[in-house]
Amino acid sequence: MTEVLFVLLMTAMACGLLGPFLVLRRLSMTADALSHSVLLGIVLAFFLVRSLDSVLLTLGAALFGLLTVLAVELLSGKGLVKRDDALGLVFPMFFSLGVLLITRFFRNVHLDIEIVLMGDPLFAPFVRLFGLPRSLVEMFLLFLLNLSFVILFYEPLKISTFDPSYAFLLGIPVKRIFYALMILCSFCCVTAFNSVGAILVISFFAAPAAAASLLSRSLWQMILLTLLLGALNCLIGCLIAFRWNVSISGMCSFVGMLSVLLLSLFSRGGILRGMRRRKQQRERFKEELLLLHLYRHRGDREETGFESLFRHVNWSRRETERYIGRLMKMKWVFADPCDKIYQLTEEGRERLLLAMTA
Amino acid sequence: MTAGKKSGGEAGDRLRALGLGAASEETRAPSGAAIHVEDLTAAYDKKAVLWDIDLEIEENSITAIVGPNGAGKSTLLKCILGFLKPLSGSVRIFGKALREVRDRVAYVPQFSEVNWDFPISVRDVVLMGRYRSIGWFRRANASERAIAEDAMREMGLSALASRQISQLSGGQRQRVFIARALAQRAELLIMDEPLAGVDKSSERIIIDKIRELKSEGKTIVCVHHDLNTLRSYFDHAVLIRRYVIACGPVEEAASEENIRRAYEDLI
Repeated sequence: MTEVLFVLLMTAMACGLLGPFLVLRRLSMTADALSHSVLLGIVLAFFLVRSLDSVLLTLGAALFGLLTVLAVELLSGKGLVKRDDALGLVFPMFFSLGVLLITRFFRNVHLDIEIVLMGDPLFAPFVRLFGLPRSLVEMFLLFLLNLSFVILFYEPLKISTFDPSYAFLLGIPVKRIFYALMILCSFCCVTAFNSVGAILVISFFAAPAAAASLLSRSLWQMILLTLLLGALNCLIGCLIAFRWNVSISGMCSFVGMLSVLLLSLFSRGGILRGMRRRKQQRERFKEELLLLHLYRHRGDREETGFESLFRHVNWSRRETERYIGRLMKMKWVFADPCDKIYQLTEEGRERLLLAMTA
Repeated sequence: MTAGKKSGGEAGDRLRALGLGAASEETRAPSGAAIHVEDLTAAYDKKAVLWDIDLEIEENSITAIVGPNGAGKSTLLKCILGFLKPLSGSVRIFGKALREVRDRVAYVPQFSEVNWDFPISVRDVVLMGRYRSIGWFRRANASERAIAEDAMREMGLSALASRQISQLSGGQRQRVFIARALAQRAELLIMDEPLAGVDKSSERIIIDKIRELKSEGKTIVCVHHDLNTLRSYFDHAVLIRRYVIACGPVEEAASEENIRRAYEDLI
């Protein structure tokens, strides 16, 4: 069981290094497309080598990943279709060809559709290399490759992700960096086939990175956080999956999405904080507006009267009295009992002046 | 209208009205101009956006590129900066190809062009301007950092140095880009609408800086939208409307007649 967890953790680490760049470049869906179209590469390579353990399989698959990206760039670059639509055209074509070939020729081989789509890390420990699960070794090598790529090209990667046209002007090979990123991404997708499957690998790229982007203040912080969150998702996902005996990769992805959802609700700058801030702002405006109204119509029995003020600001009577109550508690407003009107205190005028000059 | 006028009748007249007279020889003479564009035509897909552009931007000038929407101002910049390969013609910067003079050219994009959710501080964006001298694998040393701090101070950003760029206002964002270009210590600054969507105080800071740069001998080229401020902010202007209508000192180039030709519907 621990070996299964290690395979997943290593997958999360390898994918997590690339994830932040994919998310920041808004390429998550491209990665998703890659993860599907590499299937055709795997199937075609399998035709040649008749073995599921060959490194040719990985290379063939990566080649198709690259072909997908090239085809998408070509289609969208000509302005015929939008990038998203081009993705939607290219990868289903490659993927469906892969599925057709499998169902026609490889019914009896271990290359079955369910494993390809859903993956199952439970099988990972059965194929071994150097006394370790093969997927673990592969993923570890891939992790090292990605790590050296990110460390070596950190600055050019950062600049071309943030501002590609500026990077181009600085002489950074923007296109080459993009394709290098895509090739590494295809490698990840292929290698992740055994452990998490084609559909869910995207959540290993996108979910921890998206969650990290809500918390981080610099790129390297975002990368470290992505790795951390990725590991956490796997750990929690695995524990729950073992407990309830459900799909491990499915549970890991689900936990990943849940963490993004929770963070976007509760983080600093998250949705809930934002809602509360807007509500407070609105209430402050309303207080200030009442102060202004009472000041401009000072002494006017109709405009500032106990019984008529609410009609002039066009709020309900209850709401108006609630706000007046607050202003009186702050000692900004007092009720003049003989004229039956509200008036500003000296502090109220000062508060209004502050609001008007801010 | 009588047939057989000097240069070919009604069609010739209408072409001249479009500003398509014979190209004058002076724009063709090579010189020590900061930017020299010759016979440039650029197109996206079906439609030509720029027709046969010949122009020269003088060294040590503040030049505005002016024209109505869709006149090809941004496209011209893209061609000058090598983002877009023209169908014909050539661009020389300080008499050389762009790749030979990268260190001498800085660019300030429109601030809508980048991903503002990127987790990065103002200081780190400005430090990008030092990329070419720092190199892709070294870390910025103290002197590089000092240059970036100077650039931020000049744009009034010192207090915001550690701020995330996602928290900045439009004017502040524009100033960050200009500070990044300043940090490059380039001789030629090319800016795409540096004053668009910018508050008054930022506009003041930017214009003062542009004037100061000119007094230091630098060349500034801006795409500009506001005809009201054209004469006060710039000393040279290029009027375009898919072709060059006028190019030269702002008083001559932005004459009433030329502006009318650039903005009025002719056909």
